[in-house]
Amino acid sequence: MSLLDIGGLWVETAQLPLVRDVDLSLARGETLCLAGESGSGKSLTALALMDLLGPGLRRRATRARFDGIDLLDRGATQRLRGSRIAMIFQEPMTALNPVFTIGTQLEAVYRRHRGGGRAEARRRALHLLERVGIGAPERRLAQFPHELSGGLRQRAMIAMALMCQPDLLIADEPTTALDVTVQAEILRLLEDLQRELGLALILITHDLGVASRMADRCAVMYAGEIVENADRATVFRAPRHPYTQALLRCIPILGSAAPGTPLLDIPGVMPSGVEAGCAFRARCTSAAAECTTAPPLRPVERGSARCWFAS
Amino acid sequence: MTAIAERRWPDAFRHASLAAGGGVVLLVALMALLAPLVAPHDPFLQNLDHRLIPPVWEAEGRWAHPLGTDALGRDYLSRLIHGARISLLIALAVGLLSGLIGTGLGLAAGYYGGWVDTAVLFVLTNRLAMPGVLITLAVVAIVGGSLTVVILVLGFLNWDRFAVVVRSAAQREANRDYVLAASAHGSSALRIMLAEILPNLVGPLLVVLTVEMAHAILIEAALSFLGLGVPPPNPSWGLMVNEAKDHIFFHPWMIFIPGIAIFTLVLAINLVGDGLRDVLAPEWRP
Repeated sequence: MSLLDIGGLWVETAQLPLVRDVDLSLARGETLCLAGESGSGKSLTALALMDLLGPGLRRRATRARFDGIDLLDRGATQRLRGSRIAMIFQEPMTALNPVFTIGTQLEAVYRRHRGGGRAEARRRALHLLERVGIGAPERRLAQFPHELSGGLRQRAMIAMALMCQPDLLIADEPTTALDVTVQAEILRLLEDLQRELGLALILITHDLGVASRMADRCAVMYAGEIVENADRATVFRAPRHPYTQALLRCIPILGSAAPGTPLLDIPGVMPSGVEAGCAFRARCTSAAAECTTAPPLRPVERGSARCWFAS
Repeated sequence: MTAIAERRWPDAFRHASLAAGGGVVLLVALMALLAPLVAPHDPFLQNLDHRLIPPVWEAEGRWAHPLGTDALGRDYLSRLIHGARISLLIALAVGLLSGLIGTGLGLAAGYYGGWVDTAVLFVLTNRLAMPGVLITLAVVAIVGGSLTVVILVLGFLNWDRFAVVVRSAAQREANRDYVLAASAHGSSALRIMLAEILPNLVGPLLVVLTVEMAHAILIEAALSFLGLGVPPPNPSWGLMVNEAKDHIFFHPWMIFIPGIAIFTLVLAINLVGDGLRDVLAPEWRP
């Protein structure tokens, strides 16, 4: 049985739907990558799962269950947050409270959900800081966020997310703000932790390189919709949706193009409103008359794609 | 919980106005705390044989009464020392009460926004439209003057600056990622406001607190001078100025002494506020 099962999820403002009809499911120990460009609705989807949408945004779904618990029940969702579903954010610089020490913040999360004394929370914090690869954890516990580097802060955020042994970790662009070497270390850490703890992981990224390395399955989002959802091999070797195909073509391969050749891109921009028909049709090279009717997410070989021509 | 503010205290001693203002406030506070031990006489004891003795620096002054005696023969220095208790009590109590009201309203308005913000702003606008002195006069005229009444009236009237400052600071903090992260870790709205956002507002809050405390001392002095504040025979500094006004031509020191006391304490508290503003600003370096 899948741990997370979301069907027909919408996020909308009073005027405009921002996330449309998203279906997701995830088993224990599995990694799902939500990939897509800025503004495609990846983060909103994750925030909607946790009921953390900002003011003015509403969510609805036909079904939203986490391990048998209804995520549409706000009280139940709040009890899950931080204990069974944890989240880490893109900006480790600002996601820790600047006026408290790392130790205070880690211990507070544990004691809020698990109760227990300071000593117990502190032991757990020390153990986790060590586990996420922070040297001299005793000293780090007493330090303030501004005394740590970006990489260390992201590790501290991961430790904080793991304090209560969650079943599901949502990582929203966890490595985007870090430089490439630190990025590789953090990704490896996430992989190790996932294997060791049996975590289900939703990794939100705009970096297809990260997705191809981490994902068991990958959902590509475009203009608030999932346009393709399949296992890693299918998405990266034999993508069915023209958008995924175009994205992969845009990745430059070192040495394969002659110097001076411009990099490939997808002409046009993502539509900001809702238009009739397929959202990608204005930028699609294989658009045809059928595309004025919006295609549903159709089952294709080893996955699903939102295109009339995918097979 | 250790807050960043605590780590900056060593720097504070290197700040001139903070050190000077803090020194004076500390001195007055000690004087107030130890008043019965420090004061040479009972501040209420009248001695009609020793009326209107001038302070020691004048020709007829004597060391038994270093600052002289008032029209009822009460020792002026003792009354001044005991008066510090009233001024500081007013400052602390009014600061605390108005701080609680203003901070509470400001936090809720800044964090929730929307209709909560509108409601708080409505109350705030109404409060600002009220003539504070008139209301105070009316309340005192109806209920009668006493220390408690003065504290309550000033506390309920002077929360506006707290509310404005806390509201805008809370609005700024509420959009920071750590607030979202805190909800993702399962914190309730109340917890986020009190345990995540409020500790980040300590700097501006302390500054407003000092301003409001100085303000409260001045208003109490003014009310007591008008005979509407702390009732006699309590040794309030404002009341001392009031009682001295009949003697302004022949014994001007009777007005100067409590006047200088009020001026010095208010100045010192404002210096502390200025200093705190500097020290707590992130760009300040000694």
